Amino acid sequence: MVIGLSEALLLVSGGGLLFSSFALIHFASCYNQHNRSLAFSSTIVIGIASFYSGINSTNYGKLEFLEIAMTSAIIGLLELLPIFLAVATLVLFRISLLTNRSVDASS
Amino acid sequence: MPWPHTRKTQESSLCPQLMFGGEGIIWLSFMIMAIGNSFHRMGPSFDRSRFGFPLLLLGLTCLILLPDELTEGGIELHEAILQSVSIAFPFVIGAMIIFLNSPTYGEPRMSGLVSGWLLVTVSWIALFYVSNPLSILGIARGALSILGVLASLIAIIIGSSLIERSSGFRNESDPLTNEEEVLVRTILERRLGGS
Repeated sequence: MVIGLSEALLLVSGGGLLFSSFALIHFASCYNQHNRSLAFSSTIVIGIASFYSGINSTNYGKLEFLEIAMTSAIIGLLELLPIFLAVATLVLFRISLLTNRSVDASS
Repeated sequence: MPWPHTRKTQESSLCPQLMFGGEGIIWLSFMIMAIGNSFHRMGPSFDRSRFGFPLLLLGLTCLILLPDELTEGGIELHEAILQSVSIAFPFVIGAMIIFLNSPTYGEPRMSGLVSGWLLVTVSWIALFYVSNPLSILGIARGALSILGVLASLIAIIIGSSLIERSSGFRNESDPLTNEEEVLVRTILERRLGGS
């Protein structure tokens, strides 16, 4: 079983959609009197670009594509959990067993 | 991990129900968690930051407990999330205990280290017990998703910097009031030990 081109595009555009929507939520949540820039508009542009680049390569409807792309991206990211855990375990091993140096204000 | 894309049925192509039906609670939970994370990251200078952690917990609780009447894709997503949480939760708790009891970041205590490593081991056992931990296909899918995330991140950074540059300065900040000057001086003297 291999990953076809349309599935690869679905995953990439899903990842893009996922991040742009989280970035949009972040910009909207952090909006305040000291930061009134239009930087959040870039997230809308990237989200729309991801959406249309993905939907043109698949046969899904708009809402269906949105759901499948983001679901696929989340599950794809969760598939990397073992690698993340392995790296984190190595770091923990180094911190707890191989290091005797304490961290103070000067280090 | 399950995969929704290849097993999609005709039933789940009822478009309006996908985002706002049973699975709506999953996306709503993600939104609440994202808002909570953003509030939390704003720091204590903003009143809304106090709602950050409770919102994060609320979103996680909704994500785990509330989803109901899901479509096939939604069920697989929810199962994948539950599996990941059951693996990641003991790992995170164990890592925190190890941090607190390691010679680098806290007071070295063997009992704390052992209990932390026990929790990390439990999470590894859960990983091998719950799912097939590593498959080339899964890693490829994850890499493609990461590629999309990174491409989006880079594009947003470039777009934001271009917009910020074009906007220029609007106005200068007001000078400190007397009370603020006293407060800043007090903090600096306390931190730097000046007189």
